[in-house]
Amino acid sequence: MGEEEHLKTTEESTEMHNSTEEHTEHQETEHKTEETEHKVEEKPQEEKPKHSNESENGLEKTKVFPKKERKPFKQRIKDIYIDDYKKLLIIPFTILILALILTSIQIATTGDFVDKDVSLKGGITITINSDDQLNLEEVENFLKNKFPDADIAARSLKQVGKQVGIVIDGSENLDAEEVIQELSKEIGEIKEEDYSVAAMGSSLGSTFFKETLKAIYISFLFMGIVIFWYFGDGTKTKLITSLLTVIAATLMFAGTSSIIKDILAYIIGITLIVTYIKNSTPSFMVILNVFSDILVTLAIVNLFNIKLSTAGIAAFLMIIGYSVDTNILLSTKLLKRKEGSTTERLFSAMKTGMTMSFTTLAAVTIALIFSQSATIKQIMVILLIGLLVDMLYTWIQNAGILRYYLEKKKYKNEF
Amino acid sequence: MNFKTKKIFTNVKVIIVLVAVLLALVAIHPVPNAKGVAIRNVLLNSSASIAGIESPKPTSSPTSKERMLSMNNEIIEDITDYYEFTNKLEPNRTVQIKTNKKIYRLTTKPLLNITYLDEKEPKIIEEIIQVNKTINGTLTLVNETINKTILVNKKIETVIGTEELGLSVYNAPKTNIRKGLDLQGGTRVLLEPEEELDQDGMDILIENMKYRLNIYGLSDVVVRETSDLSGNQYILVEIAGANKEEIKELMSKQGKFEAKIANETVFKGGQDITHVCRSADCSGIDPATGCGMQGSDWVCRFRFSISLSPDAAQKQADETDKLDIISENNNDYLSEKLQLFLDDAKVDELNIGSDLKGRAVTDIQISGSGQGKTQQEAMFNSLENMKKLQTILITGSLPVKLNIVKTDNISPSLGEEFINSAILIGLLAILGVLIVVSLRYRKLKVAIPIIITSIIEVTLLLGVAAIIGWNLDLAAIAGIIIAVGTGIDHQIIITDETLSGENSESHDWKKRLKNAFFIIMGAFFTTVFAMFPLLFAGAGLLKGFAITTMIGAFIGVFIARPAYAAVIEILLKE
Repeated sequence: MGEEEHLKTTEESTEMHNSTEEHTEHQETEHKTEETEHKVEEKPQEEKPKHSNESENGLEKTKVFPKKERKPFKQRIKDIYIDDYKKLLIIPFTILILALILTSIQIATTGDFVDKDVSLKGGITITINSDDQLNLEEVENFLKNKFPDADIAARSLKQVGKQVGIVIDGSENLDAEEVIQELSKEIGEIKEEDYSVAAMGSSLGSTFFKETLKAIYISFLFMGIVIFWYFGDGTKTKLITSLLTVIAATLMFAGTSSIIKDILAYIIGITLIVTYIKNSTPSFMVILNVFSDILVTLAIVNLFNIKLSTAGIAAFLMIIGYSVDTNILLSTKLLKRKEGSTTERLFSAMKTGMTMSFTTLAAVTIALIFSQSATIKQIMVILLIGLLVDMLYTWIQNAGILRYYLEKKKYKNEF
Repeated sequence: MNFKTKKIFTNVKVIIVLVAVLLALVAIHPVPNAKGVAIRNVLLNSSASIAGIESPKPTSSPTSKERMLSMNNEIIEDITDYYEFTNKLEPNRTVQIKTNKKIYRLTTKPLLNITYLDEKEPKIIEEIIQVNKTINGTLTLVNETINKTILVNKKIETVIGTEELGLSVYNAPKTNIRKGLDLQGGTRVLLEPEEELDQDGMDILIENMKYRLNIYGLSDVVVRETSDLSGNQYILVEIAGANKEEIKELMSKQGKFEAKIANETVFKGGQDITHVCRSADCSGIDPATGCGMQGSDWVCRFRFSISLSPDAAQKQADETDKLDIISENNNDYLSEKLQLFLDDAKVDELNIGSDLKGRAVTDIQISGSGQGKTQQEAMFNSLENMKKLQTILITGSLPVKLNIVKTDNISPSLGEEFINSAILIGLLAILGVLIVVSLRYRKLKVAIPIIITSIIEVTLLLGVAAIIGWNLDLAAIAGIIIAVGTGIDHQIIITDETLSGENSESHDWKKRLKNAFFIIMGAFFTTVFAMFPLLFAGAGLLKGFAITTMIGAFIGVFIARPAYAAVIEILLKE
């Protein structure tokens, strides 16, 4: 994927930049001979990005020495990242719009924003009573081969501690009669009185998604107000926005829900978001960022045709936690610190942020490889996608807009 | 180095963490080699209960439950052994059961098949009547027992096997952490409504049942609508760990509660009751009557107060106004009693004091009783009955009556090997984090504290889980992963902030840590506030996740991270 490649290169450039900056790291960064090489080569160029026309220089270099591509290429990427950050914003916004379109298409064609599996959608349950100790995995794999279009999960039916049969959960397109016929061939005849078929509802109930969306919407408003208190100015505006946030939350959750109350809550939300855009870019950015992370991850999950289970929902909630961390880190470093230039502070934040993301990525990848459980696997796949998306949105979208915001502020102060 | 070690272990923040870890371990109470099967529940009047085995209190921690170690000197290691043994049992045999507390002698009961015939036979029963007798010259009313002959249907009893011992057991828990339905399986009850419901009715019913189970104290509950292929409606209830009997009763009761005076309904459960007292000062075992022996059994009476809506109180006043005052044992009562009906069966009747005549009282005391073999058991059953009645009074009646179609034990959806593999994966993931952190910092004295802090955070979280008795399910596991994940993130922030300060002019550690904690607190508040709305939406998944994440964030920010910062400061400061 394009974005992934890009992320890697920005990460490398961070390392390069910082290793020259921080002398304490000198004795530590000698692990990769390759990297130390950069360090030496890089030093003379260190100051360059600060002068605006130097980026062209980097471009020229690649043209002159096309064989020695790696260093100049890295430098070029770094220069683009530093100087053309506004143009780079096109990437995350394009992806966000694509994700919006894809999700809309998904909703329009299937009526649901995601492919739900049996646990979320419901389906049929076939209970087979059998004294034979059936191997669940064998049965499950056999049925999956026979009915590739359907979702199938088998579990054991236990009574007084021993298996007395199996339960097969399947999606609606599964024909119970056919399953019984196929299974009869495989495990011996199943008599009519030995099995029963029932329709099964979703484990989360029909109102679950509506409630979740409302709750996440209020979550966004809450995140916005916390960041506003943390980074914004103007106590009066802070108090008013807090009051509005509480009113919106109360309208959503207190008492019986009605459409009018919901609409009022949405109007207040829009007012708040407009206030943030005008008064507190960091607040708006956190909301936009977490929203983008979730939506883009959702679109990718849909592209991969992953069928979402209950565990998948949990994974999406977990993305909120991870994206908040990198965002606050970036906002603090850029807005609250005074030492060094904006670029230096950005790279310092990026170094920390990338370490954070890479430790999590390492843990998630390991869990993905070694886990046998489909539940864990799904959580980890979604987290993996979410973390990669978060890297893009934190370090390009959020960083870009915050730098633009700082520049504008500086410009305002000067004149 | 020795000096630094000493400094670390005398640091207040580190000591706080170590004490917290110790407390967490005590709460988790790991017993890696726990043997036998733990007793979850004992059925009343079963052979186990007659032998004196008692049900554990619902609040007791998993590892404190009584464990059965051997039966007839055959060692019982797990439930397979237990069922193998009990399946072989024949009726009217004595079984010696050894638990970690006591040795019991139990006699198995035959399982009888009773067929009633049309033919009648006479049966002599005892009846107590009141007769006037002259004792010492005065006429007094005395109770006298007389024998009476009545006709009953003839019956034939045939022994068809051995009755179950009445014990519900499970493999001895190795820690005090309660596992959710995802991990340990539970009970599944399929119920069928007596009349067909439309979608609204079904939603109300399901909400009401969830509410009822939550009020009762069962949190990990899935209630959902299902139907079979011919379109019959069912309601599926899945409950982690709970034993079948108690929920069966709670589910199948429609919960139509009515209070009548002279056959006129004065108030009903649900809408007419504004408040049901459940605190110790106005509910519990009745201090006035307490417990007493009745025959060979103990009986305990409970009482609790309820508040009626003004309308219901007025209705009651109208009814009592019509009644006469009668005198009994120097107490003045009204001529009719307040009768309480649950699902059309009379559960209790109360005398109405004469001073209540025609008055609209909103506070009423409700009472009832429970019995058992020992005083403790009677008290427990009495309180259990009280809890059921309170639940029904609070939640009101279900829109329809439900019939239990079947109940069965379900296997965990996350698989039985899940926990073991989760521990292995957790360890491998920590190793992965260790490698990344070591590569980045090239200092083991940074990498190792990060890993140790993460392990400590998991321990503390599990300790809290054990103390508050929350069920460890999918949502909680997701919450733990995110708590540990953000924990590592924050430790990296602390490390970077302190390292980056090293070569700047300011050697002020306080300032560096302040910088780090500014970011951490920002992330903390944002996460906690983001989780807050999830507490109010959709029970189960969202709520469980939000609570775990919030508790994890609190533990991290206020206990683990300050200690990590202190350790890093000591280790890196020259």
